[in-house]
Amino acid sequence: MDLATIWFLLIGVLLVGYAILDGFDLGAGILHLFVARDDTERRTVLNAIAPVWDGNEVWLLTAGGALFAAFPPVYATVFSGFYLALMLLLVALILRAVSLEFRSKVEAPAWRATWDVIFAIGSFLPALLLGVAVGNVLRGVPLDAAGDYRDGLLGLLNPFALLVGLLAVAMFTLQGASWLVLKTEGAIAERSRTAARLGWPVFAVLWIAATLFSSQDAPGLWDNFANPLAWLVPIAFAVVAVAYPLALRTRRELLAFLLSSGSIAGLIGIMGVSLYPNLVPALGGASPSLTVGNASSSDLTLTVMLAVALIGMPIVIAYTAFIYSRFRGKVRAEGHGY
Amino acid sequence: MLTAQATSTAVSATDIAISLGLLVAVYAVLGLLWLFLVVREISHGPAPAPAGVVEEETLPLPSAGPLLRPAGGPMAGSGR
Repeated sequence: MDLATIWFLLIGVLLVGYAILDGFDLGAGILHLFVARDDTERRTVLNAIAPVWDGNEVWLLTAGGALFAAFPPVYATVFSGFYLALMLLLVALILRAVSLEFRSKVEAPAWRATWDVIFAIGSFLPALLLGVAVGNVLRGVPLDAAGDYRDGLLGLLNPFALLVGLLAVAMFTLQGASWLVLKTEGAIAERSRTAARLGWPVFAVLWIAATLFSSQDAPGLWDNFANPLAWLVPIAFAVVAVAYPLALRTRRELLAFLLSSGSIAGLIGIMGVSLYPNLVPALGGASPSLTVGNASSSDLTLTVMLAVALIGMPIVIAYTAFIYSRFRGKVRAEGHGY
Repeated sequence: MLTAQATSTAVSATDIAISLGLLVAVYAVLGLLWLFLVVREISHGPAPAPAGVVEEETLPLPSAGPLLRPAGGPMAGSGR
């Protein structure tokens, strides 16, 4: 396996880590207006993500940094071409973080209700925008002769990308519901369980719709499935996704959360299998697609990065596991917290 | 490489203006809210100390110690 392919996989791992970990943060934010009815319940939901939400967002920064170093032309094309969408994402993440901090500063109900709405919007928008961005990458983007995308924000809002955007919202909402079932108790946990039970068929329908749509709008995504081994990933995804509602029904909360996380990993795995060796498929023929072959850094750069990753990743995984074990168990709106 | 040569050709001036305006607006609002919270905090004053906690001003001064030596004593002109 060549170095560029190893980095294709490692960036995929970082994206999976981000989607699983920040996915439940964003999902809890999207859901909290519905599963938490009063101030104490909303504080409980916030406390369920309080110790970890900001650390979880670092996975996205790391994936962006790794993309910049390993595949600079891809970083340049995506971050310039999707500029306004990414700025909107940034503003949403800023408002989300501020709403968490500002909410508890004043006890007035109107103040807190306003920040609750901002928190929900600030959680929904990143999920949608990330999904739309991924949808466009999967579909392919029209690149000019210089390898740039110039159709702006409106050019990104095509039906397939919007469908993938909704799929991302459903996926993160399901993950958030699974986390809240695991971390809360009483009425919040029951409402979250209901949200997960209702959310799962929506997620499944959106995934089937996006898959069917892709055969029309992005037929190149099916090329790799000529190899029978490629089917292992969607089969694993289907098994995990089908087992999820069973775990939920039998009240195996940790298993349900792990299965929800597994379905996220499976879905991103399917996208990776579909894309490889492309990173940004080009539409229109003015420029070649950006691939692991023509868009990677030098072997020296990739080797140094790999050495850093091999040292750094175990440390990151170890302290992440430590933090989650320290904060295991159910949370309440008591003592320290939001 | 000059700054003018290093700008992204794929990002239009309109996009830059929109994003700049967005960030200025967001941070202006957040700045005003921060000011509101600080003024509010100052006007409320410090919270009363919990029962049983003795405030610093009421503690008796130490009867003797190296920091209370008279000027010109061994601590003076220590070079610090």
